[in-house]
Amino acid sequence: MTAVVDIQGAVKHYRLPRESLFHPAPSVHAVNGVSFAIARGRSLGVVGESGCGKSTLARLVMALEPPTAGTVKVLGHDLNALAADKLRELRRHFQMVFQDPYGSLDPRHTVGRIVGEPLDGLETRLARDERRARIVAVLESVGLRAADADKYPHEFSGGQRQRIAIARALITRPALIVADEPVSALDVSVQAQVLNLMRDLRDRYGVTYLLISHDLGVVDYVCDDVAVMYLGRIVEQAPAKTLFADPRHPYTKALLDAVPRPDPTNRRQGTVLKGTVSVETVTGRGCPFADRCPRVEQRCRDAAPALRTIAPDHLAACHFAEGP
Amino acid sequence: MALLEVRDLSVEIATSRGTGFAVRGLNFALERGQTLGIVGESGCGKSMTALALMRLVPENARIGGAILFDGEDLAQADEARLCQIRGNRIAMIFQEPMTSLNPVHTIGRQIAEPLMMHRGLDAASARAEAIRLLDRVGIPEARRRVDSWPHQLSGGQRQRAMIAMALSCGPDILLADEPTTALDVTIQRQILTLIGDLVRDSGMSLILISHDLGVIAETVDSTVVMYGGMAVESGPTARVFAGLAHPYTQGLFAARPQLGQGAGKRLATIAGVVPDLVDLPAGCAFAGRCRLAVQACRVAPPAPQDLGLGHSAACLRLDAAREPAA
Ligand SMILES: Nc1ncnc2c1ncn2[C@@H]1O[C@H](COP(=O)(O)OP(=O)(O)OP(=O)(O)O)[C@@H](O)[C@H]1O
Ligand SMILES: Nc1ncnc2c1ncn2[C@@H]1O[C@H](COP(=O)(O)OP(=O)(O)OP(=O)(O)O)[C@@H](O)[C@H]1O
Ligand SMILES: [Mg+2]
Ligand SMILES: [Mg+2]
Repeated sequence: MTAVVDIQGAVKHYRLPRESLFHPAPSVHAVNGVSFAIARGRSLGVVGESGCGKSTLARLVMALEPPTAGTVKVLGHDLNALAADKLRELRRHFQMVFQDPYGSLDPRHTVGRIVGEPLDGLETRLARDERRARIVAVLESVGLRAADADKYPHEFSGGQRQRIAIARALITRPALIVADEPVSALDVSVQAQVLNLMRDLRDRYGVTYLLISHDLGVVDYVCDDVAVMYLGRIVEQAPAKTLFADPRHPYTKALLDAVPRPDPTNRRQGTVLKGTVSVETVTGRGCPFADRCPRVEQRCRDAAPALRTIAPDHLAACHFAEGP
Repeated sequence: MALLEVRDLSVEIATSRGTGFAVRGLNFALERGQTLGIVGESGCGKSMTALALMRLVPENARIGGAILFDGEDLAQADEARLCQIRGNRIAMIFQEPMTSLNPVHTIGRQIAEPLMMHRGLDAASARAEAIRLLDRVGIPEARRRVDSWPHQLSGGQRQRAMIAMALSCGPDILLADEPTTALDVTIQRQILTLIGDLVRDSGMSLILISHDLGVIAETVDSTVVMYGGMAVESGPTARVFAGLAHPYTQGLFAARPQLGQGAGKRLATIAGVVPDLVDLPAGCAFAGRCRLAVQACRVAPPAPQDLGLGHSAACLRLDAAREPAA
């Protein structure tokens, strides 16, 4: 069976503003050689520091931008080799929920029109009342009401707008949904409702998710596998259960340590990861995490560790991943 | 006298289907150097509350009540006066960075502008200060990134650019509306530590809106739980988290996905949806979804009941709520 998503060696560079006429414009290596495949029904969660390239990866999978190098296949098609009309046809099978909901909702259209738009891509046009029923059903499933279909995006709160964006992605029950921080703007009770809905769609219609979230609890709840990104690369990947119980990369451990806990009597004095990320370190020869790593040694500065299998289904890119 | 005292604050919105209250009868006070958290369901009026304090509510909204800042009622202040205060003495981190960052200016210019306007810095020192602030909020290579346009930044980098802008003038009060939702946990921690330092070292006061109960627990002295535009429970954070007196607060806590819980158990939800603001019920706004509601709950909004040590909850069924759910 073909994988829903198959990415090989994906790279994406962006140019930054030129600093001087006499030097080439600097560039950001947003995604720096990422490969993975998602089998149908095995949802993948992507976590990692802000700016590490998660949204860029999502845009590559959605063919919103071409990669600088590498291939991106969705449902067996190489997106960047596909003719425009074929790509448009394929698009109804993969939908995206954007990180910035407001920017992705057209302010001049009613919510009903926005949410119903992906239905226009279906081969059989729905009858008017059937279409309305689908829109109402999907709005209700994300905790909005039928009357909301006639309102405009600005009449909603931040979390309500996010739910409109989710409803829009869900309405055609696509094979793949790329969701970029879909629930981070939602309070926990609505979040629970949306997460339960995402799981129901998975169980009932076999929807596969590529879910980007900085909330590890959310990823644990929805995803079968988790990839941890750092500076445009995957540094660890494993089934969710394994990764959270037995993280092998020091960055993954730092992420797990930093999760806030709802216990005001037991506040931790922040063990903040020291230092910030720089583009220079990407091009350096050592491990990209070396400057911030608590257990760095000389060999980490000399050679970058490869992402390799350290146990069945468990990949990690750290010289010490096999050790204690 | 408290630095900020909010009395009977309301925000009434005119919509195509009539008018309704997004915020009703809200009271709280904030001392210098104190921190207050606001939590509650999506649409319960948290952002409207913050926007009202800045007098930035949408055009179809009207503010009622008093907002006493250093003794001056901001609800009555004119626009010229508000311009002196906004961004300078009261600063806000908006929930949606892309809508509050100007897409046609570089982030460096947007951070430097208030510094030149309110602090009288010249262009060169304002730029240097902008770079320092970007560095403090953890933007990598701030010197290079200062000339980036908003669309060239990742979601979390935009949010941090906005945080840098809000902190630039050293405000007396920082209103932070979901300031870390777009950030991963390590950077979230870095930002919360930075805000905590400013509270401790320069006596800044903080109003933090967040749906992340972990963030609230680790950051603020006192907490207000809102539902349907009203405060349903409030008090010192430790008391609210230990007490969970109001049935809505209890539902909120039960719904959290927890790390390690995995895919096994289904998340608890609160059945039903929030009432629409144009047809808010006459009684308790939560009654329609509350497992304990009785006839009396539907008659009038319940008054806050004192639970001691500054903790109170607006519910008629507090005794029943104390029993564990069946
Ligand atoms: N311009 C507007 N016109 C009409 N109704 C509005 C408008 N803006 C907000 N509302 C409504 O006012 C209520 C309160 O909105 P507010 O933005 O304060 O919610 P919130 O508590 O911040 O929610 P969230 O957690 O989703 O950001 C919501 O029910 C929303 O639908
Ligand atoms: N159009 C662009 N031009 C220049 N740089 C860009 C552009 N888009 C993204 N970048 C840079 O690429 C890097 C990766 O960005 P990306 O949006 O993928 O991060 P992310 O992992 O989604 O972060 P976040 O969690 O903050 O949303 C960042 O350093 C960002 O500034
Ligand atoms: Mg992103
Ligand atoms: Mg809001």
